[in-house]
Amino acid sequence: MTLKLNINRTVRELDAPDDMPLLWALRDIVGLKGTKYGCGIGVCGACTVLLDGKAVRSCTTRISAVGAQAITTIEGLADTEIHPVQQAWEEIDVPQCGYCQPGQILAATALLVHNPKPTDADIDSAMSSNLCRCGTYPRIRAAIHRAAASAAGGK
Amino acid sequence: MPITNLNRRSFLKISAAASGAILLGIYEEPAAESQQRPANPLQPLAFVRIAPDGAVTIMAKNPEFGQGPKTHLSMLIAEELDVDWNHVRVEQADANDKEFGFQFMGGSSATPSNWDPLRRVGAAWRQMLVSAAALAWSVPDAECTTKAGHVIQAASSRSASYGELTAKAAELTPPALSSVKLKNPVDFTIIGTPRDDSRCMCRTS
Repeated sequence: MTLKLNINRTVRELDAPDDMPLLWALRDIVGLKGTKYGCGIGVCGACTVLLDGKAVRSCTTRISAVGAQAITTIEGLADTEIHPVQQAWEEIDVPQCGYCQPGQILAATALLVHNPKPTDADIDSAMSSNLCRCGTYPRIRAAIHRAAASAAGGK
Repeated sequence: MPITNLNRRSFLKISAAASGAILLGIYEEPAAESQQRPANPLQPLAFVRIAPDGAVTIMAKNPEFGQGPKTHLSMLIAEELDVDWNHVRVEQADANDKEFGFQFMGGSSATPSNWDPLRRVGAAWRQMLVSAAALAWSVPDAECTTKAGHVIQAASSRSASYGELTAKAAELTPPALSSVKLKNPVDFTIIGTPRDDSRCMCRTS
């Protein structure tokens, strides 16, 4: 079937089966490889993207369920050159192997939208289902605090 | 479930204490293997390509599992080669222990075991570029210095880019790795700076 998806502020027309996972469409049809395949069953968070600002698992989201919601992937997160969360990630040097980090960054962005000043406990609770095999959790937490401080005007 | 803020290194230490035998097995294997098999001498020419336009490509010998050897092993070469790190491209090397020596990951061994040999690879290349310039200018090697991808002879204000010298340098016999002169660590400009692949990991790839 043909359907329209709003991906990173551009509406694209796709010809794909309506039960195709959004992750497949993003990576294999649109060619946006920043979003990663991890577990394929929605438990690891590597495939996290934003739908209207909310973090969702693109591996278990069918393209037919997206509708007119705006999809944001790591490639389109920044309006300008770099998003404050990415900036904090680079300053703290969060990634080790990097595979889970696009998902982590988008999950953190969604957290900060509804909770601009998260506590350690808020971060752990919001981020605990985004897995990182390298164990970068302490730096992820530090980067979220830094992004929060930077958004609040401190830097 | 309570989440304990544990960094990776403490986790490894605790795991080692809790199940010493298994981890010890993993840790000892590379060292034991390297003692049994003599390492092939590294082939400096295999590690570095310098194009006529000056573009420098350094081969990353070890597998990259996220701990950064692709960056920091290349930095060891770039530092002694004396090039601008911003102009270096790093490529993953194929498996070929005849040219690259041992190629494995494990035991936090990449930097300690490659620290001296890879610096010598970079220094050997640098020396060949110096010799190529000295030959062209008919001056002793000792009168030439290097900086950011150029050989310079201060006395005559002459300078040649590595790109101009690469073809001639590659024809020279590489010096013995044990004989090359290494930088004093206080003069390091690349070693010790942060890895630079975080940028792409946080943006697109």
